[in-house]
Amino acid sequence: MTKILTFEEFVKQKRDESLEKDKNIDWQGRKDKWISSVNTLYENVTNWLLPLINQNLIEIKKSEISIFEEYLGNYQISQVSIAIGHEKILLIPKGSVIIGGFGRVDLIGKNGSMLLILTDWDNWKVAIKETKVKFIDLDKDIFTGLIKELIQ
Amino acid sequence: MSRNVVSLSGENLNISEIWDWYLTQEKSLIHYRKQVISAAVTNTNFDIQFIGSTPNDINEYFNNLIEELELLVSFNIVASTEGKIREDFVIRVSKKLKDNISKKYWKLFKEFEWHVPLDENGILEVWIDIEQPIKSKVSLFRGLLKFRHWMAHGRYWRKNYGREYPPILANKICKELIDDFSFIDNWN
Repeated sequence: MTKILTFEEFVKQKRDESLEKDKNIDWQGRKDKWISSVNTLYENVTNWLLPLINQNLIEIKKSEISIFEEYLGNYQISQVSIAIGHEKILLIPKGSVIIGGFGRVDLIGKNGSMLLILTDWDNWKVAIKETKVKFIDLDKDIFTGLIKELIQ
Repeated sequence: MSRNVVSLSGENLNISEIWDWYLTQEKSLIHYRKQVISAAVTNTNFDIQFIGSTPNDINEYFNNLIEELELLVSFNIVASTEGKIREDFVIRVSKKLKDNISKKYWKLFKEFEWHVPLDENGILEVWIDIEQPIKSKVSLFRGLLKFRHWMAHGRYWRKNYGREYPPILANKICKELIDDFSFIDNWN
């Protein structure tokens, strides 16, 4: 039979569970790598769009947001806004602790959103959820195709 | 109009069976949620259905499932109670019993045959006439019938029954009603 815990025992159990989890995973290291991977993604996106940015056809703006994740705590990370005429596309980090990867950034436009998954450190893929989830390598052509789909 | 006797299925669940089923389903969902969240932390043994989900997404997903489960359980409890009441009607009418309730049921049967209404001008009004003390419990049950109606017809209109009916409340209302009414058998 399951023992009914007092509130103090319950709190201690939760603390011990957290300590156990922290012992096995370097959460600080994970957070640093996650933030760095997100910045790499933004650099790639900026490079892919650079010719159009230089022609003032596209404007990219970066801003800081605050995210709270149970295991990583509260931290600052960048989000990106891509302006094309009156349309806007946002790249918003959702968190590092996710199913099936090391983090997720949502690419959001007026028609919906797409999930960019960090399947391996510095390896971003687009997750296409059909009957099964399909991963596609994120490159310039895929990224610009997604932008068109999200705001056309 | 046909006066064929209704053939009772014997498949109706009683409230405590539904309640046990509910507790098991809820525990299973909570257990599975824990497993899925743990897969997000360890990044192993995950179900592809959840790829890309954060713990918040997972919690939201499972909270919605639990909310849906609760609606279905409350609905099942009311349906089972209605089944119990109608089964009693069929037995009393078929056996042409002579107690006060059976006599009134017989009058209803002459008017509606087996399509007797449960609520207005129907079975519940017989109950109130004959068993006055049960009136407040019937009144609570009537509120639940509005919820049942909304559920059974696909929830396409904005809810108008004024309050939520979580399983614990549906269970209490139906159980107290059944416990207080003189059914001819001792079901429940």
